[in-house]
Amino acid sequence: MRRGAERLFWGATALCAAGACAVCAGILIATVARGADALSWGFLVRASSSAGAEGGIVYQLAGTLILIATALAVAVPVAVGLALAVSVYLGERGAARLRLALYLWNGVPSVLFGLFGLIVLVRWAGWGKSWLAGGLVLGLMILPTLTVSLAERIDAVPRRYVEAARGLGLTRSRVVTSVLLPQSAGGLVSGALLGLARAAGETAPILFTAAVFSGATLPDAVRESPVLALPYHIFVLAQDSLEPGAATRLWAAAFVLIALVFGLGLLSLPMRLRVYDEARDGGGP
Amino acid sequence: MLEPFPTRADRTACASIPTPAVELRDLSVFAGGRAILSDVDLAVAPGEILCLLGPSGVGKSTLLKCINRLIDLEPGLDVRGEVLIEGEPVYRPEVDPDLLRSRVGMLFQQPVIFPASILDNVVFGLRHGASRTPRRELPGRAERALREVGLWREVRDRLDEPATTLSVGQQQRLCLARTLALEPHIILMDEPTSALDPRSARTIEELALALKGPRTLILVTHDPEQARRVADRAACVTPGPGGAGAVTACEACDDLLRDGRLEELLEGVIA
Amino acid sequence: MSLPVAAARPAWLFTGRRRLDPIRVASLAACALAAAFLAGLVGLLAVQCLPAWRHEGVAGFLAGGRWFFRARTFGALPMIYGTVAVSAVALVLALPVGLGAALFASEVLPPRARLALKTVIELLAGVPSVVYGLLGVLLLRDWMYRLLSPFDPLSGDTLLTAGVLLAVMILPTVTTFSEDALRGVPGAQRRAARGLGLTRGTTALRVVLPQALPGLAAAALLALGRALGETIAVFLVIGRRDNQLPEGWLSAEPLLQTTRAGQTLTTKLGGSETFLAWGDPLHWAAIAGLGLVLLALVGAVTLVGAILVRKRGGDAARR
Repeated sequence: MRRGAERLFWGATALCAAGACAVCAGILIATVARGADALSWGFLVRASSSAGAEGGIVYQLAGTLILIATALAVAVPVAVGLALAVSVYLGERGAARLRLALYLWNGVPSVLFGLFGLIVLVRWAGWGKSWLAGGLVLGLMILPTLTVSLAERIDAVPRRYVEAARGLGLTRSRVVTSVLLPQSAGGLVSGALLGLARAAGETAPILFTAAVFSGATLPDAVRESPVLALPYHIFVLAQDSLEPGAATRLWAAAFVLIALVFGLGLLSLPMRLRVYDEARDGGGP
Repeated sequence: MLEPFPTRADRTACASIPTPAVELRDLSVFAGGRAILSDVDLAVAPGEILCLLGPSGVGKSTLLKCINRLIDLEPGLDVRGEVLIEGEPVYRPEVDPDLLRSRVGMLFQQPVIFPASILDNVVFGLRHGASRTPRRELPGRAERALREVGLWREVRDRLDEPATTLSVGQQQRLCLARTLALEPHIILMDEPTSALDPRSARTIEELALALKGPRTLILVTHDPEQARRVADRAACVTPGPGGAGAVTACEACDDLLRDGRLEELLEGVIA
Repeated sequence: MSLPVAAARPAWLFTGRRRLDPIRVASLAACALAAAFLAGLVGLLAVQCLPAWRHEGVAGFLAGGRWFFRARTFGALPMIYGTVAVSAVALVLALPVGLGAALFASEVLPPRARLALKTVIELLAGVPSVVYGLLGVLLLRDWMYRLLSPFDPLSGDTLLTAGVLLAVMILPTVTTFSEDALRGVPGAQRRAARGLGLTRGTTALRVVLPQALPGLAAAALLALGRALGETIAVFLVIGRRDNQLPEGWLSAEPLLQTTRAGQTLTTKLGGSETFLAWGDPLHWAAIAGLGLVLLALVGAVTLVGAILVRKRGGDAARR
């Protein structure tokens, strides 16, 4: 390639990379700039009023936290079971099929999880809009994320540990509890944080199953116990024409949501970076 | 000049021990259609040290892993023939391989230290294995095992420290202690000194000599000098026709070394 | 010196009963649960949408251009068109930019800077879709309205707007997976090419890119899958008008139609009809039918992507 074309080419690619970074920065800056006025400690702990034009977002925040906590509680046991199945207990063909299923599962649009929850939990089980339905559906949605993260970590445990443990006479399950799970716990934690980050920001799954715009505080039962949720709050308000006061609060709410999601994602970074380093330095037998 | 592939008569001579601790009959291992080991006949007398000698890659480790059924962990391998331990065949459905492995100890080439304290490493097999030793007994068993390998004095004050702080030689002795804690009758050692400096290697060899008698040891090595120092008898594993490992000579080590066939055998293969 | 030889069978070899392994049981139970869910998802939608297929016929449902639930007409074509159009716009915009960024990261940046860029891109991927939607509503909508003024749009809510927003949303996917694909080509290949005197650009285009093709295709398909399934952001800026179809198919009409409002499979599903339709079996069947079509579409795209990813892994192993 001639000199000029070469520089043009790499200049273009650099532009693309810079563009991607600029979009990220732009989103953050836009949200902060426009929502800064409404951001305060009071905003986080007060309830909203006047359809979001005044007050804070405490119950929306609480609702989101309830939903993602439920999702975690539901997803972790099943994810551990599935990860052990794919890395330890299933044979080669079964494991390959499960991996494919997880891959496809991860690609299912989130609105279909909501639809599933609507049919099974809201209608058939008669729960109506319920925080538990929302949590269950979110848990189902993030299951592949947790499972794959943990399974990758289990697979990365060097063979020599398993061989030595089996050589001492440990059964397969004892090897799981005394060698594999302790050494791969980080994978579960980072997967969980990633899953939580995703669940916190999703609107479509909770649209039909758990979220309302107003009239709910904290749930006290399972049936007919919806919650407020941050993403849904933003979603509803974004559809109306807004007066200035509400607009600022909307941006502030968006910022809080981004902060929550980014915070969870950043927490998972150290663990994932460590795996990356280990893999790169050839942490094998 | 490599000897022609031995006749059946030669091979049975090797297996003529009345009540062997370990016996292999017609043992073959196949990967896909290819033979890795073919028709191995071997008998190990109780209380002796048998060395398996041969060039790398010929299948000595595979042979060893057949004895404690660690070979089961490797997918796609087909094991045929018989392995008998104290007269009992071990490739039977009624045999519990985990129980077997807790009574037939194994030492690997690279010391494998779990990310835990020294004490936790020594009692690892006791605590998590089939024997379900009660907690209060663990420190005592650990001390006995550590004394037997000569580590007790060196580590008694730092049992709670991570085992990774030990030198490689100490780690290998720790692995041996871990195995001894399970009180096995038979100990398999797969090139246990290859990763060690000469002094640590000598320590392991001395330990092996001290351990035999009540116990039977099978030691894989590629160093004839080590065999000379340690073994009661030696068996040579060399590639037979088709490349599969086969036991081509099994006699008292001194005989082998005296008539110079040992080096010849090994040289003929390596050259 | 002599070992007491066991006269009887060594008891230590045999266990009494088959011990039940609780962890293994739990693990396989989790598999059963997972299988049940996946089967349930597909089965549920498939069974519930049968009345609609019977009512409209397969061709009628998929190619029907009119959706008037009160008049019992359920044609999904406008929504299928909307989904395809919006995703196509998104891919056209995001693929070049994403590939460019991936090339820059993989061929130019040193490892630590590459990791930093990867982190930034991942953060971008984490932004919730409702925030993208908000940005679309409050910023992008007006920009697009002004941009499209020669086409005389009714508002800034158009298929094109949704496509542009979606492009930004799938950019991280394209970049991350393309970069993985490019890094998958061994450094030895690059060194050999440079050793022959090829420039870095030529090496990238003639050596690295061709070998990374399966992985790049997988990245594109994965991004397409995301685009097809996105609901909330598209919902807010697409205008949600039913029965918007291009006048013709062969001219520039399909392109022109993107300057107008429309509807996609996901935006219809995310709308109020889903809640309302439950009481009416036929209406509900039609909604479920939309869900099934969406699932099939995304499933097919993801499946092809999975096969490509596997193929690339296989080639690497043989090398």
